[in-house]
Amino acid sequence: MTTDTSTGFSRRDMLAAGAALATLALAPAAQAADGAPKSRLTTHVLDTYNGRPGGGMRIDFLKRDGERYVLDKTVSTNAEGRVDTPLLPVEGAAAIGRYQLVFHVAEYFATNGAEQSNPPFLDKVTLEFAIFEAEEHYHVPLLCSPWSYTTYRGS
Amino acid sequence: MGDTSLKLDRRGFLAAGAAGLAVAAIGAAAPAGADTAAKPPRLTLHVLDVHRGRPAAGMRIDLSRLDGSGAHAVKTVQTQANGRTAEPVLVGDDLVPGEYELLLHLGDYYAAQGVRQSEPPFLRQVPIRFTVYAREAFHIPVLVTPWSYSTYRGS
Repeated sequence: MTTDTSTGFSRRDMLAAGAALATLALAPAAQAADGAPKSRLTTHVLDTYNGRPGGGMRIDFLKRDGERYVLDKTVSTNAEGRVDTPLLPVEGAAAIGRYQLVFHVAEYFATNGAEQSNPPFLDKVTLEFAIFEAEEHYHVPLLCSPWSYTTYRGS
Repeated sequence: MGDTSLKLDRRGFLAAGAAGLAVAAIGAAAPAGADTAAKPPRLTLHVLDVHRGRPAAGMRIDLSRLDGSGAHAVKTVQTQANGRTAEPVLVGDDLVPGEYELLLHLGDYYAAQGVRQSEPPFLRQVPIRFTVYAREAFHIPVLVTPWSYSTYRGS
């Protein structure tokens, strides 16, 4: 093992650090130390206008209660476009049910260099979906520009 | 040089051809905004079922207007075999600027197609909310599968 005597880091240390950083970048947010997801539901915002993660976007998370959707929490994406706060904690109540994720897209693009119409074509984008299995993980990303969006059940 | 008859002489013919090509090139290069601004105001949609690789026929879609006091039902339409409605969803003066929602009954559509879905369906109904910000032609294509959808302002 070679050692860089000036900094004290060995090559093995550097490789380990690099691997750790890479893992962090690839791992979805809201993960426990052992790598297991802390949330039944995760999301990820990709800004296809700027070609980068949609960081700093406000998202409302609503749960269906009877005939209405009720606000559960409002979160904001981190620099990777992911959410640090677990939306549906694994140890929490059963996840089966109907939900909405409401993404504040116009507000985001107003401060992310996109020219929008006045008023914006897309204001808030609402995704409405059901979680139908209690033990599975649901990853529902949003790819968006001021004029389009795409979502899917990911992993 | 010139043929004194009505036929174009060679130079005139070449000039006409060049002009024609120029007009075609300008037309092709025109931004979508210029194109949609030239058409009469209307709202149209087109649903493509990219799970089955064909237009989504017989899908029920509810149109609502959204304002400060909530959602107001306008009409319900159904797609034809080509994935479009027989008539534009809204035409001319009926296209009042403001926010709208097209609610696609996706779960019912795939059930009618005999496509296996989760129980309940991951995407039972899909709300597409957008703003008509000018009296222009707004065309909303939606590409769907039981697990995903994509939409954008088309032309």
